Formats: sequence, C-alpha cells, structure tokens
Amino acid sequence: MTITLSRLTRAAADGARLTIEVPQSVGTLHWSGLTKLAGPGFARAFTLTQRGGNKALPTHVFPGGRVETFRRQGYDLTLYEAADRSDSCLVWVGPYNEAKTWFNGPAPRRSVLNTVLAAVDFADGPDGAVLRARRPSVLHQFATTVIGAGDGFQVIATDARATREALPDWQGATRGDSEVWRVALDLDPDEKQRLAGTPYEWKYTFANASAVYTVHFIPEPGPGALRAADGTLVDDVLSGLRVTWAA
Amino acid sequence: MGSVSLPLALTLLSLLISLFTLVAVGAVYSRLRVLEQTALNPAAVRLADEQKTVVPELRPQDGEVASVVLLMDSTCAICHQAWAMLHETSWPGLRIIGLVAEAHMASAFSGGPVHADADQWAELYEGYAPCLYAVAPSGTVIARRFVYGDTDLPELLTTLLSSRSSHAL
Repeated sequence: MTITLSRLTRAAADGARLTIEVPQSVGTLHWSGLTKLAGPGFARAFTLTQRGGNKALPTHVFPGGRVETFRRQGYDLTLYEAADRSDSCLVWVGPYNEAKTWFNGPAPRRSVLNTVLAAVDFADGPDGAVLRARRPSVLHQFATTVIGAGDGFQVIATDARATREALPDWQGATRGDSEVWRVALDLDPDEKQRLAGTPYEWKYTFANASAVYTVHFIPEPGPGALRAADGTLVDDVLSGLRVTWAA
Repeated sequence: MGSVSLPLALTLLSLLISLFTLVAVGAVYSRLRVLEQTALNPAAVRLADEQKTVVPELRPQDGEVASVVLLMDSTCAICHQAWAMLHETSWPGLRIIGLVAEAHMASAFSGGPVHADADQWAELYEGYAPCLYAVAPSGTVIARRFVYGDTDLPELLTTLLSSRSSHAL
C-alpha cells in the first residue's frame, strides 16, 4: 500500500525549523508548543497556540476579570487577571499565533511586566511564532517542544540533542534512519483492560539524527467506541510520519 | 576638656565619608536600573500602545468621526472579501478607505476610494494583510485589527464606533 505524504514546515519557539512529513489521510494538524526561559532573576514558561487558542480566557477561565490590551508592532499584548486576583496571565497575540505565560497570582507591577517584555522577543509568522530571549547570553532557553494534534492522535517533537537522556534504556527497533520504542502508557486499570491489545495502550517514541518525537493515539471516550477505521490511521501515522529538526 | 584626639576625629570623619559613599552608590545604582529599563533601552517593549500616525490622505474629513483604513494586498483573497463586506452597509460618519502599496493594485478594488502609498503601506504593515486601522481626526491610529475570513466586519465596526477607544476592543 502506498501512502501519499504531505510535507510541511513549522517553526519551534526557539527559532528551529521543523520539517514534518505526514500522511495526507490524517488531515490537518493543530499546532501548539512550549518553551522555557531562565536566567538570573528570571524563570518563565511559555505556551504557544495557533490563533484563537486563548479565546476561552476572558469568558471561561477568568469570567468577569480584568482584561487589558496594548497594541504593539505586529502583535497585541493582552493581560488577563481573575476577578479575585487569584491568577493572571500575559498573552502575545499575533496575527497567526499566540504565546502565553502564567503568573500564578495577581498581575505583577508594571515594572515587572516591563522586565518580562524586555527580556523576550516575539515574532509571529504563518509557520509558527518564535519567542526567544532578547539577550541569549543572559537567558537560557530550554524545553522547547512542538506539539501537533490530529484527529485521533498527537505527536510531541523535541530537539534530539536536548532529549537524549529521556529516551528508554533498552534498544529500540530500527526503522529506516530512526530508532523506535514502544512504551506502555500509565493507564488506570479499567482503561488498561479496555484498551488491551490495541495501539492505544502504547506510546511510540521515534529518534532520528535531529529529532525525538512521540506519537500516541487518543481513543474516543466511552465504552465500545474504538473506531474500526483506526487500524489504517495507526498504520498510516506510524509508517508515514517523519519529523526533522534543524536548529 | 572636651577635646577629641586627632586620630579619633579622623576615624569618625572617614566613617562618615564611607557611609555617605555607600548611600551614594546605592542611589546611583537604583537610578541606573531605572534608566536601563527605560531611556537606555529604546527598543524595550513596554506595556503601552504603540503610537502611529497616518498621512493626511487617510484621515477623516470634515464631519467624520473616524476613518477606517483597510490595508490590503491585491493578491490575497480575504482582502477582496473584506473590502466587499465593508461596502455592503453604509457607515455614516465613517470614512472607509483602502490602502495598497502600488498604484496598479488599486484598480483591483472597486466600490470605494483606494489610496496607493508604498511608504505608508510599509509603515503600517505588520506582517499580515488585510489589517484594519481606525484613525482619529488627528491622524492617530486608535485601533488595529487583523481581519480573517471569519471576521464579522460590520460587528467590528459597530464596536469600534460605540467605544472609539483601542482598549475596549
């Protein structure tokens, strides 16, 4: 059986370029990402989503809370704060993508917010937003992850150089230029019994020269709802998906 | 009687000077920190709206409360769709005007005035088209919205008109 592959590129938050080959049968993927920046007096995690990924914030996360928007060149800065000031977050809203950081408390003072803003550089583009330290010699960027969500599966990709230690200890199977491991998911007993013998009980970790990516398949909730068509989805994804990471 | 020995006087004096130096260094340091975050770093992103003004051709004319500038690219499909949607309803008190980079692109958009100005286009362009700007009579940009295929432009203009401030949008 031949699989038609479509090739797309995506930018990671640290500016790396990902090339993703994905079977055309799986449809479009929704992208999100993570990155962290740390240095003297600064430690912050950022989550990236596609446009509209944070639209639930003013209505469902912080209903009745404070929203402040500032217009900047190429993006908006939106500060959300809960009505009881128990939590707050700052969102960079570009035309294509958004980046968000949580404060886990009341919105910080202006000077603190300015320090956060002055420390990072946000550049949006159709292939993904890049959020980097303005002065890389001071702030260390790490844990940059790109997550693609398709209908029924998810792929989490990282830079191979940063993820070497997180790979399984045992030797995996060789497939082309990559090594593949199948690792059991930590499921609760009922779920484990329901998914026994299906691809849903595993996660599949692929490692090639530049990227490490993990694929897992998401079953429909409820009993007896494992789709018949999933067999081809699993085969297509596992044999066709390929990620390369160019820093 | 009551006289202080010379070594003691010198010691007290030097203690005073060193205390003063300590305070002065602290004061200079705090001023420097403030300067680093503001004047010394003009590129620093601050929590404020970025001020932009447009050329007189794009400003509202007599009696109009604001002008709505749609920055467009002749090749994008959403630009044509947005331009058509803006002209489906009449907007009393608003000046609807298109902005393109090259004069030959203006002919691709019919139904309303389109201004071609490469410099102004480059100054306003933020990496995405179409983009909608609300301009006050003074020429200051008071709101900016990226326009997508699913954006409800009439509703957006109504909100803009009712608030006429960038923060409420």
